Amino acid sequence: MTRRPALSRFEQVALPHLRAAHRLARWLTRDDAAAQDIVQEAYLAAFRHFADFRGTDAKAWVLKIVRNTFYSSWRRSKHDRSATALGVATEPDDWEPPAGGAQTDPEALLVRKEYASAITAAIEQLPTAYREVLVLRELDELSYKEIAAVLEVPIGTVMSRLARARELMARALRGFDPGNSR
Amino acid sequence: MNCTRARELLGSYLDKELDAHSMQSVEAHLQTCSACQSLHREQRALSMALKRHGDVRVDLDELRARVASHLVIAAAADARPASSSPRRNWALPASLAAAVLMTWGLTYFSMSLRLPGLVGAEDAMVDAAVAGHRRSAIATDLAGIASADAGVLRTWLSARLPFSPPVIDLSPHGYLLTGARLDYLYGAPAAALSYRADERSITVLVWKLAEAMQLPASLLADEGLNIKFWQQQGIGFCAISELDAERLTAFVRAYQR
Repeated sequence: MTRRPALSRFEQVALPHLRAAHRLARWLTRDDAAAQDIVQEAYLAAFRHFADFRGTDAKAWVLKIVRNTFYSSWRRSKHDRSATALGVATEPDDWEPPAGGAQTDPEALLVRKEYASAITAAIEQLPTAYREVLVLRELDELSYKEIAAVLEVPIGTVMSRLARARELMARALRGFDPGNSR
Repeated sequence: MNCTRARELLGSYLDKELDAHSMQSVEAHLQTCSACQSLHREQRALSMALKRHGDVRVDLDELRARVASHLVIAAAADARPASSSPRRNWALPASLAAAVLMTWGLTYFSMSLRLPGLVGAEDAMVDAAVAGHRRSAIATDLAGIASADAGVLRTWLSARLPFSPPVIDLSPHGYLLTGARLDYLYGAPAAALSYRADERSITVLVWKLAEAMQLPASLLADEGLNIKFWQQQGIGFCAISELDAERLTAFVRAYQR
């Protein structure tokens, strides 16, 4: 009986991070329905591996499982978009914006007028490896150390990806004055 | 500190990830270098804009219910092998299930339910059933679906449970279906059906009966509720309601027909 993962204890540990889990899943998948599927799958996986949780940082633990679930479901998916669609998941630091700029279509962005939609679009256009590090830092407010744990990379990599992500965001959003459309 | 070094550290400075000494060095540089300062301002504005506009909308209650219901089913599936152990006494899984139900209920609704374990096996069963009824009453949308259509409910439940619970349209008898939920009862995934009659709700819990499980035969009462267990073809049923004994018996008779 004690060997079986206690559902209520698991829920106490993991459910408070549901919003963060969903946020990460949503930005990884860029799709509402898929995000919820990933969250559900991740929580089941987390429950099954609850015994592995060392009881230190539940949020990072949950987010790591969400991320792994996303990548394995992505690999499983039959829509064979091949590794290039993942962009830089493998070699993030070599990534360059496509010809004409990452913002591929700055005019289309400008047409939206809305700064909020421009932000959303700019995040969505980031290659996954930059998108996830940006979301973990800016929205989930994880420390570099926690991000390194979630992504299973050295802190130096976290810093360089984050810097690159911000640079790409700044480039994509150049021309918008956040002060005007708050 | 020169500009190159300052710009390398600007992100970590913004994120407050630098040690105190480096923080001060960057700060000192920013005060003297307007180019780096405007870069920093741009980064800070971006960071604030991301926080403001980057969050995603989600019905968290709905997502929580969805996740919780699947966890309940997974936990039930994990628990199943244990019930075929030599200790084939249903009282143990029943009180375990009651305990799980209770903590689960507490998590979401801060309900106060009586502790099982100190009470007899029958009481533990009744407690779990009553808890199921209370959950249906409090949160009809908890991991559930609202519909008066027996076919819709049956389809919905069959897709989520390891068995197909019979859902019976009793509207000709004056009992209206209002919805269904997933639950966890006596160590097994269960369906909780909700009916309504005369402003009273009736919960029917339906689960696949473990072989060794014996159901109380008589009509029981607890916490102002009447409770009736029965079984049909390997499926366990429990109707719980504020309806008086006579009317609940009539309901059960209609259901069994």
